[in-house]
Amino acid sequence: MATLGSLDLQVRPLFRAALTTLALCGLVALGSRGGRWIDPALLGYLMASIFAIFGVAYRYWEWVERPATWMYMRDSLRMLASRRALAVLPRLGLLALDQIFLQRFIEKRSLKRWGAHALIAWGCLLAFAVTFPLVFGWVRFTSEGLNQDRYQTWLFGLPGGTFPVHSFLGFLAFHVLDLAAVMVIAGCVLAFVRRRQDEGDTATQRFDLDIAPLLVLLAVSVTGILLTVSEKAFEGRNFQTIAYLHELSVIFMLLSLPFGKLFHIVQRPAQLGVTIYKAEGEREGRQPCKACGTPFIRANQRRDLEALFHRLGLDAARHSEGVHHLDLCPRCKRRLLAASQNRRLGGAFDPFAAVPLEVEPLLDGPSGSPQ
Amino acid sequence: MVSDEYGFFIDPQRCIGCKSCVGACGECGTHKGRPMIHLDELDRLESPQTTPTVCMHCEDPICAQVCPADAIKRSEDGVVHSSQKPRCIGCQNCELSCPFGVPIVFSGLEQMLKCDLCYDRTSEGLKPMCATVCPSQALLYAPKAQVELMRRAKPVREFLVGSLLVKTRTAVMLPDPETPLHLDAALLIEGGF
Amino acid sequence: MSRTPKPLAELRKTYGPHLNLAPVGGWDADPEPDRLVKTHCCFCGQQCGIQLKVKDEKVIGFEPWMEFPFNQGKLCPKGVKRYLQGNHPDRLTSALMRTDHGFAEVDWEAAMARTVNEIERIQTEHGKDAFAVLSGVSLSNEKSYLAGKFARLGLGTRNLDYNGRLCMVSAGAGNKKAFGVDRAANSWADIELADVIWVSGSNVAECSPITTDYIWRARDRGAKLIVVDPRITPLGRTADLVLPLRPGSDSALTNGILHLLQKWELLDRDFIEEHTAGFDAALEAVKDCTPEWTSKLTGLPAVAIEKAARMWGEAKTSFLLHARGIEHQSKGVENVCSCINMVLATGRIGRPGCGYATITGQGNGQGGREHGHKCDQLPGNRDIENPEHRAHICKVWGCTDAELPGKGLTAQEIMNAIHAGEIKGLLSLCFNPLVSLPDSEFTRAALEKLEFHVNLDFFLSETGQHADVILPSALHEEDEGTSTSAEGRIIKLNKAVEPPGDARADWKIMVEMARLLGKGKWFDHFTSPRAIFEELRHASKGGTADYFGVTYEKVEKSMGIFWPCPDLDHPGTPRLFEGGRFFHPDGKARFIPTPWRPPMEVVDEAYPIWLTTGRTVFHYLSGTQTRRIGFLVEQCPHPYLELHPRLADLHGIEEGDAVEITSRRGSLVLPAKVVKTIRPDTVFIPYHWPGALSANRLTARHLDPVSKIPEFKVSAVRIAKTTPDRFPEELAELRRMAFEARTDQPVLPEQVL
Repeated sequence: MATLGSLDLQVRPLFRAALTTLALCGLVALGSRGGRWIDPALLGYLMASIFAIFGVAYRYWEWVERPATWMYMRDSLRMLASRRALAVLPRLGLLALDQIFLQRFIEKRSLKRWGAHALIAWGCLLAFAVTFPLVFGWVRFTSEGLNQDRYQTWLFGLPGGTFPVHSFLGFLAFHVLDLAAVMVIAGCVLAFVRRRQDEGDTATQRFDLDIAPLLVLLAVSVTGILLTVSEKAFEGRNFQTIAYLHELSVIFMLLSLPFGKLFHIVQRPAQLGVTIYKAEGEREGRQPCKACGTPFIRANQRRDLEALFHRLGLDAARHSEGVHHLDLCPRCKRRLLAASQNRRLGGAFDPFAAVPLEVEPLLDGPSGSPQ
Repeated sequence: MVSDEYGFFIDPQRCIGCKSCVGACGECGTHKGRPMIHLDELDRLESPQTTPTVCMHCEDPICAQVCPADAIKRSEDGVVHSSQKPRCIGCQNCELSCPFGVPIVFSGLEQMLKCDLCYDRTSEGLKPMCATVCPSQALLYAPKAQVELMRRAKPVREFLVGSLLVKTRTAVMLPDPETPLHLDAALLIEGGF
Repeated sequence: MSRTPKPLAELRKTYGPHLNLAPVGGWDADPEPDRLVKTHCCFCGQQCGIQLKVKDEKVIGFEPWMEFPFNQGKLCPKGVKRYLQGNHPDRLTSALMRTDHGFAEVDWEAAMARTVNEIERIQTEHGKDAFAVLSGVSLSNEKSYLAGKFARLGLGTRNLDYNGRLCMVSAGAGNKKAFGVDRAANSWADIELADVIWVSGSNVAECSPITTDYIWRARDRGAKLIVVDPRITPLGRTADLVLPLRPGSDSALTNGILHLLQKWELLDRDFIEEHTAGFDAALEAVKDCTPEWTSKLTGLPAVAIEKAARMWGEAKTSFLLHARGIEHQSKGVENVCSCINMVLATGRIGRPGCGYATITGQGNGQGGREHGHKCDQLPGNRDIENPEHRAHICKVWGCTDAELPGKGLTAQEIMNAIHAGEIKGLLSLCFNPLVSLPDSEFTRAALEKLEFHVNLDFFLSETGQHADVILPSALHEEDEGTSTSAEGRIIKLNKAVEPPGDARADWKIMVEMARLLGKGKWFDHFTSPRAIFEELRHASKGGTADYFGVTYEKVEKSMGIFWPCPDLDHPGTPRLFEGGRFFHPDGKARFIPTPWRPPMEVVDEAYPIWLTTGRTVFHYLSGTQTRRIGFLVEQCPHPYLELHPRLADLHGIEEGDAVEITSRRGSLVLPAKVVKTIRPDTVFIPYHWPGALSANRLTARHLDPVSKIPEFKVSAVRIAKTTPDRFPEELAELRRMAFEARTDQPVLPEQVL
């Protein structure tokens, strides 16, 4: 895992990340009408968010530029720019529904894991969807003129709809973050319980990768919900302290976003690209293993992997007779290891070498060793 | 952490094809009914020989190099782990590029899982499931120093894939350990084994 | 009439075989067990140590038992998945009684009452011996001992025999003739120390997989391995010398070796002189067995025979192992004796690294054959016709000599007598003769003639399908007791869980039945396996298989005790015959002359191909347990015909083709498996399946005159290519089950077919 201390900053991703951040700042300035509508109380959040976006953008561009990642990114972009895009888009929509929205692949890994993940994922995304626009000053609420019972919404500095304060919609608008917090807390608790019961996870999990993110999310959600509790049930007692703690935990989460487990949120859509890539490869057909003849590798992946091997300095993985290592199916690679050991043993264990099997008189056929 | 004193040693000559390792692999806490070990027949027409394949735990794993999601990690003890669940996108680059044919991408899960040396067991000082049950000890997990004494064949941890040198944590037993084991597809294509 | 009450397909719906694919609660359930129970594998005579994981009073998996000295955690695939025989959907949990429409679940008491009534009726009408017992040696020592006592005193019948008759009797008889005792001469530790290991008729890698490691450890020391087998087995593939001889020619080979040992003077004259008798007669029998003669009979080149004789003769230390390959013959005992002659002639026995053993096949094939489970035997490996032996047992049992029946019929002879109408009633337990006896259509006809048949089993076996009453019994892990491994090591089986529903341990059933038959005075004190073992100890005292010094506590503490163990301070005897002292009264071993004779059936123009049968590593005996475990079925779903490509070409057969195999007994159609690892004049079929897929439709009821073991390993057949529509229905069902095991999908999609 990359840490601050070991950051080896690269120029191109740095440049792209700076551009991304600048674009965001422009949008913030535009949406908040030059910062006029930025809530001063949210200033700390805003600064942390901008830093987080910069960090995430940097990691994202750096990741995309890895040879292996770029191989898929390039193919996906090319495809989206081609005429095939029209044919593929509906399928992409369905895939997004299945893989990103419903996250069915996690359900297949384990139902408990899926439950925990869905609660955390949708809690977080819901909270992000509310808080980022508020922090960036893209969304705000004012009283509708002098009417204290109706709210006016402003989107990107333009007036949106109005709604009564004491309505279901009003209730929802004020408590959507509480709902998100409850989802995340439930999800985290489930995740902890599941991890405790799972021998495999208990052995392979790491504090920084698997436990810390859960603790951070828990801290954010618990302090967030305590704000509401303090306001509604304890007349605002300790509200300031809780608000301070909440801000601290959120800023910590934002700052860790580029480095920790939550980075996968921006990586995950790559799965859609890969699924389409595979489907496109199937259209082209599979190439046979050069040892056993079984079709196994999709033509596009075969081409791209050879280029990737070249970029990674793995060109030496070529056998005699022009066979690339990528031309062997996994089963033949496994057989090859044992066959190579056999050869090194010099056939010492060939039983028929010592004893030619005699042919019975009842069999017509060539006599001598069957080998 | 898995102890550095212990090594994993494979001797395909001893394999009897019983698939105990496959059955036991699925019983391990990290695998949950999905065996990660492979057991292949070389060519049943010619010979009853079979061969088990566990992860060789390369020093610079090609599977990790070709992973677009940066999902395959090697821990400090030299164990190359299954893909990280949040990252793996099931592209099969690893499955197709591994020099030894180890990783398995499970369709549906959209995730690559592989032999992880039964990390739940070996990190607590137990043997991996496959090497524990293996009746012929074709799969051996033992102190490195002891293996030199108990086996005639010697461990080799260097492989020439074509002419690419691959160094591994897992060893294959050979009578002459000085030279790397050369893997060349011509051997399979000619059927000369 | 005991036909199956319903078509087999309908019985299968209720009673299986179905597959158990995953532990209780599925793979994602919390695997943290409440306790680990140290016990042993129920499959095969090696009796590997294993720990069963128990949670909420169910077995949910296993954990290797690293400390148990024999296997140190190693297990074959059957051992790895053995726990899946528990919590199985096919498990019988209440008594069943045959009706006109199938089997009906009935009260335990009703089933017992019917059984006792029928036993009394048959014995009153036709005599005591008209009711027979067929038992088996997957039972513990306690249950085996009890089965013998129950048949003799509970039922008063002399017709008790056991499935060891299909397994260990040739080796047992040969060992008793030569050594005066029937046990592996050494613990397996001596295999490691041998310089030459000779394996005859044993597919070690598949039938006793853990022994493979012992052999390899010797080879790491530089030992040479000689494997005698018509097939190139996984261990044979790596052997220094493989002798793929013609089926049934084993004693020709060993006679030829003895001939050469004498010719080249590779003998231990001092040992022969001091510790053996009968050597001259043995030599006389092999005087014409020149390499040329041997070559002609075995189909092996003379040079290979000479090489084998040199390797064996010149070794300093050696270990000879054999198994059913040479024992399942009409001259099984002679084959065994001729192997022992090779060992005695070189004097390499009773010392470190010098040994001999038969590899016991069944779980308790050793202990189960020692304590009166056989038709001619009483506990302690005593002879039922020896007045002194009878007197000892009468004293322990508290009966009169008149109350103790004499020698009865052997297993195949009992089935013959049932077929002939002489035996009218049968109690079968731990034995599935419909699959395991030769000539299975004959066995089926016999079972259909029984007036009454009661079967004890935990699953409805193929034999059970013909029974009138089925009493659900307990699994290996549902009772405690002892068992004795191939090494002669007595080990402790521990109870992990209670039997479900009405199922109960076989000993409880037999004790209850004896009480209902009015014989409670001999059985009522058996309130636990421990109580039975206490009586066994005393009954075995002074016999060759002396368990008197063995207690449960002692066995657990030392992780096994090797008999003989004559008193409580005795540590047990891992190596027999030390100092050249054998168990015959004069202390000398006997050479048994084995003049050559051919097998009962030989190939001819009508049936020109040899058939041999055997096991695969994934199944156990008649498959009642292993054909119900998903992983094992996935690896080996159905039988096949193994044949050499030259033979295949002769008949235009290719891999997977349907082949009809016909013998004088019957025929079956199986898919071909074409391999270069079998003699071109020989075909092989694994025997674990029933009905239309049973290898035993082809085998003959030819018996060894001494041991009465059937000649499973040598038959004459002819083969012909046929069309896939001739494959039996059962094959499609097994292929579907293999798919289910692989994918967890119960229905086979069409494209896979």
